[in-house]
Amino acid sequence: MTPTGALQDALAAEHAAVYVFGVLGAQTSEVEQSTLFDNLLTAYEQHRSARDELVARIQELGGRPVAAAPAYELPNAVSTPTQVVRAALVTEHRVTQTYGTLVAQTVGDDRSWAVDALGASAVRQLRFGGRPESFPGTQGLA
Amino acid sequence: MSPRPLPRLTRRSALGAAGLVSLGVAATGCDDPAATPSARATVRSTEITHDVALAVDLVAGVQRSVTLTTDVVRRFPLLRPSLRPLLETQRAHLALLAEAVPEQAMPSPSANRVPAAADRAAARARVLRSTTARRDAFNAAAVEAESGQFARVLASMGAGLAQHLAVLEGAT
Repeated sequence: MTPTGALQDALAAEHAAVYVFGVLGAQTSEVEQSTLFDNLLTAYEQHRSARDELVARIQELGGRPVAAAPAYELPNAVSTPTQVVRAALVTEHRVTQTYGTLVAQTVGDDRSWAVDALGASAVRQLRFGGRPESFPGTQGLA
Repeated sequence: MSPRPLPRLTRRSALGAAGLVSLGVAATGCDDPAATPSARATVRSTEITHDVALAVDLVAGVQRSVTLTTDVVRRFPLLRPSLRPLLETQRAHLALLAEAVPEQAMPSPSANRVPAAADRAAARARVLRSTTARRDAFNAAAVEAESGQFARVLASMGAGLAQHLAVLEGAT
């Protein structure tokens, strides 16, 4: 995989995350589940920012950023707050894995940014019931 | 959302890609009993890869963190529930890095003795400072690593410590 290909994969993951967190936020009451709503909103904003950063990096490499799909399949049903939290954690976990790959496939400034993005995503998992791991972003290093 | 399946990372692929396995032989060149000390030194200096050198640098710091956290957990029982998960992660990191470091380059635990902290709060603060330093060292080394897979493992270790710090600092 080329560095641009890895950046495109990360962008695709962020497009999906922006979509999913938008849906999860819409499913959550700002009044009745205010903490969850705030966490979802923060995550949504951070994923949007990461998406824009990836678009810029791909363009700087002369690539054409992959477009967002019209819609994405949710990880699970999101009818209850518990399901919303689960979907958020699954989505964040997928993003963390993608950034692990991005670290491996890039060098220099792109890798430095990917290292920070991996850490940020791993920490975001904690807001949605995730627990600290020894090797996040490695699919459970075997 | 159905992302493309990612290749599975294993300890062997992570360390092997960096030339970090079988280092006992690769790093010393001591298989040849006829080799003179100077010949061995030449082999040593030319065959230790950049990434092995990174691992050697990191392992001493991780060992110091393990020693410190072990000592704090032993001295201050009330800190055990919160610090034990961190200690498990530190030990997992040390175990993996130890696979990458030539035996003779491993620092002895006695070389990493740390003075005891005066009280519980000070001890906890020292563990957090030590963990922050390790996180920063892993992240910096991840950027420097020549092997992409080794970089991924190092960045993952930094991310794992960032998670523990977030929990311990109540930032989540």
